[in-house]
Amino acid sequence: MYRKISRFILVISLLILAGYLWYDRLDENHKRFVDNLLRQVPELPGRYMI
Amino acid sequence: MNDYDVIVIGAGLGGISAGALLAKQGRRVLVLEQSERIGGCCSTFEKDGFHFDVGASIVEIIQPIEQAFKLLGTTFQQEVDLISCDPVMTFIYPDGQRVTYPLSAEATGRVISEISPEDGRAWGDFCAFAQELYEVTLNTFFIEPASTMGEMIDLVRKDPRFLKFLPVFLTSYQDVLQRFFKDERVLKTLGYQSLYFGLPPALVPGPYAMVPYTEHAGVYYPRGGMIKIPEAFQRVGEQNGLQVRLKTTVERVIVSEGRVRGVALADGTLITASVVVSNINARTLYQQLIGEQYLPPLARRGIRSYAYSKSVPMIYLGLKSAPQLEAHHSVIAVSPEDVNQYWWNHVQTGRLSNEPFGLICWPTHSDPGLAPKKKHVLNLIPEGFYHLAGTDWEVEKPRFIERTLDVYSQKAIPGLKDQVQVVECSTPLDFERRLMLPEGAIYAFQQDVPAQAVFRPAARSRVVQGLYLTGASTHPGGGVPTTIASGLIASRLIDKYEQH
Repeated sequence: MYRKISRFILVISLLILAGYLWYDRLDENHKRFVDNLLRQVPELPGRYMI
Repeated sequence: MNDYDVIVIGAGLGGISAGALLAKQGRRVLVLEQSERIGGCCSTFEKDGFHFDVGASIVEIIQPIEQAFKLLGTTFQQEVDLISCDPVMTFIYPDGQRVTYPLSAEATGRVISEISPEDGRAWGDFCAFAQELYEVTLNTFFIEPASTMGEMIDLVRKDPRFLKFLPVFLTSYQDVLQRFFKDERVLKTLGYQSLYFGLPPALVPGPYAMVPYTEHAGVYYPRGGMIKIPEAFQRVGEQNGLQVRLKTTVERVIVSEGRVRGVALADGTLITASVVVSNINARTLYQQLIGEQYLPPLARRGIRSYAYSKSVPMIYLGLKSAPQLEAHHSVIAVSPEDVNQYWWNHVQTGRLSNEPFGLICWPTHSDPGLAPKKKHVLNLIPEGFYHLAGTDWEVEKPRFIERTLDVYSQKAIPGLKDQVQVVECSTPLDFERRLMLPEGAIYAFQQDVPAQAVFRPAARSRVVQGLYLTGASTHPGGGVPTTIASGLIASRLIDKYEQH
């Protein structure tokens, strides 16, 4: 079980690292496009309710 | 028995079209408009014999409008005398050179080839891409409800090609254009149109990049002014019993046991109805006319979370003679990156730009009857926005008009200032006050992906039964054909869910 949890944490960490590296390589405009989308993600459930 | 079957709040295009369609269904419909004329942003006013369009300056993507009039038992062309605008647009470069795109997409390709042979070839590929996207969205996104995941799945079932274009929603307007075009002078003819959606090219969803193509599918001006479109809906609606009251402000939507019961006017009058259609801004509706106490906590957060779309000032000019222009619309040529920089350095900081930038509309090029003989109407839509750093529009307005006329006379339309006989101006603050548009936002909320479709306030309210939304606040968003499409969608939903 500990091996499964460790593997899971490793995969998640690699995904986060890959996401960070991908984001870091974006130009300014693309960073702003992604930022604009991500900033609004927490609002989506509320917007779906209205 | 209720006073009416349906009350419509606001006689903008979404409201008046919904009202007419619902009257055709045999319902007793009353439209209540707070101002002295119908149409909202799609309206026309007169001063000293010159007729000025309040906001909207042309109509394109007319298929939803044709569909609405067909349902009303007539045709768009029968009710409104449409003048075809050809050429579509003139672009004025900073060095004074101009290029004009004709209505024909093929002919426009030839014009682009003279600027850049490579981009001229790419124009054909771009048109093929945009044409298919246009067909798919016309058939689905534009005219069908999209407020639930189930409705989104129905869109895909209706036209599975919609799936093919889903990844485009995760790219930007700028990405799509730069995929096809490389020459800066060509890109300068394609950048401005992103602001139709209230955002810069780096933030507007990719599918909207089809607009530079859709302009070639037909651009029209209604003879007599943009108000002819809402007037046509009112006229046809009244043949089916539609009633319209002007200068009547709704103060409250009456809600009881989770359902609308009618409205209360500013003078205290109560009017009952089992269905209410709201064409006003959704935040104003839910927060002021209904009250947040009727919203679940998550919905309260949702309605508060939207950013208003960008507003613009408009300067209306009556001229002694024809301006030195070639088309109904002209634009000071700006590249997508120019518009991005304008957004970050000016819109976001509240500092107006001294450089001329924006749309120029010459409606008497198409319809000379809008002005006294040999005189002309010119509407300038220079770039601007609601929030100004360190000042406000009350103070800025006269300076802004003066500065804009000076700059446009020098850099875009030689001799303009000397030709001016009549000047009027609507700033974003004026739009807010006169049309009850918060922050003067003609398109209500920004139209990026997290504020579209299922994430835009639903056409059939999820929190109050019997309440429906039309206009720019709801799907499919702001614009002449889109707000009329919202009227179509609301009328269909009411037909489905509300008994007569």
